[in-house]
Amino acid sequence: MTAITEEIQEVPTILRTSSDGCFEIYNGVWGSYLRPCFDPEANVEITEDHLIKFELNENIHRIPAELWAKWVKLCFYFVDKVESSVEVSIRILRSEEDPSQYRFLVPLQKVSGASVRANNFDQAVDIETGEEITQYPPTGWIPVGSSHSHNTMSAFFSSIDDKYELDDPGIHLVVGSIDTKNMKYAIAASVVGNHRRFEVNYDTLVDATAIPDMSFNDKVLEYVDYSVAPIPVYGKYNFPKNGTTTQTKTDIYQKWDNLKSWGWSDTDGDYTDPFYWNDEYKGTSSSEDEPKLKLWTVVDTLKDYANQNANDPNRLNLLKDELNDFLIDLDVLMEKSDIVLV
Amino acid sequence: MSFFDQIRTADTSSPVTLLLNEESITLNSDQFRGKTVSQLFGEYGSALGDVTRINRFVLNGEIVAGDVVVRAGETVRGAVSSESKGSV
Repeated sequence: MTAITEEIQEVPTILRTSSDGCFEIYNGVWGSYLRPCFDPEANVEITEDHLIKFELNENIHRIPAELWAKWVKLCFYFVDKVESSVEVSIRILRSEEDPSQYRFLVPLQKVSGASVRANNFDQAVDIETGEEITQYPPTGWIPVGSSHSHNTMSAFFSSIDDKYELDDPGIHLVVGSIDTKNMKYAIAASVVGNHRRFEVNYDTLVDATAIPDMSFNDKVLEYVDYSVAPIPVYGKYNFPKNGTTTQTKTDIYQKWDNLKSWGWSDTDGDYTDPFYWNDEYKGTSSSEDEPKLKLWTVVDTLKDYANQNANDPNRLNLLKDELNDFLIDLDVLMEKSDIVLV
Repeated sequence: MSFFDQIRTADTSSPVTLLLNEESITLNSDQFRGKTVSQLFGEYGSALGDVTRINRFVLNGEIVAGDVVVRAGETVRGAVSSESKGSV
């Protein structure tokens, strides 16, 4: 009988998969099987410091000054020409054939002092020509990013910006600190890739040379809805908070009434999260000393939130997105548990 | 012949390219064979962005549904089609 040890290979065969790492055929004492292994040819260690680095390509075609000036004019318009300054947003595309050719599309959007929501880019208009787009992206054009205005507030990337932009690779720019009196503004610029944002100097992406008398196509104004939604009135309601607290919706809405515009405040820390009224009501992780939530209270709260915001498409859409994200989390939870669905 | 001798090496000829905006990843035939556009983005596209928000696919320049099977050498581009922005 041949000794088993004679059959063990001195150098194991390494199998490199595209996404599941390295495996080796392990010839053990009792038999052979596949098992994960370290890559013997690994030659680098990646650290957090490496991951935050970004080197901008030198041959980037900058957004031309004429086009950028039209967009800036639109941002100024929604600070200067409307009753209460509002935000506005565009999609940035460039030609498949000639990457130096940029195009800005203004999607149909609902805006407020601190938010923008565009439900469907299939309804959009070209900021320069006024051409109406019914299919996004238009043939021959590649989406490469976005820009939006923070009106008179500073130019930075907010948590909501991150939520949507980090999954949308390309260039993302914020126009802010708009000062209509002195005709000044600020730009925050970034390149997004692999769910990470790399902030860059704006002038590497944009030729922001001021060009007088540039203006956007008037058709654009039909695509930006800045009308204020009416604030609904509600009766008394038991708002569950760990099963102990009772609060009326009227109380909650009195607080809401103090908020800027119909969106949410940029100054009051308690209201910076659009999904919750204040910190008291932010989602709580379960712990042993908290009573078990009833499913019906969760469902009721969600329905109630939807009804409260029936006239506010921004909040409804954000709720929908949160629920979609939650479904993914739920799938992960179910995979981790040993529940067998029958 | 041992079972382990039957493990095939990946075929890297005629790859498929997935794009989200201008970011891309390349898949070999073992990864894309017989799979639809939606399946490929679902399985391999997460490095590019949130594939659950992609609601428009462009295959070789034409808009296609997610259930179209991708063939060797093709390029599929995904696009998100909605957004929220804000200063909070």
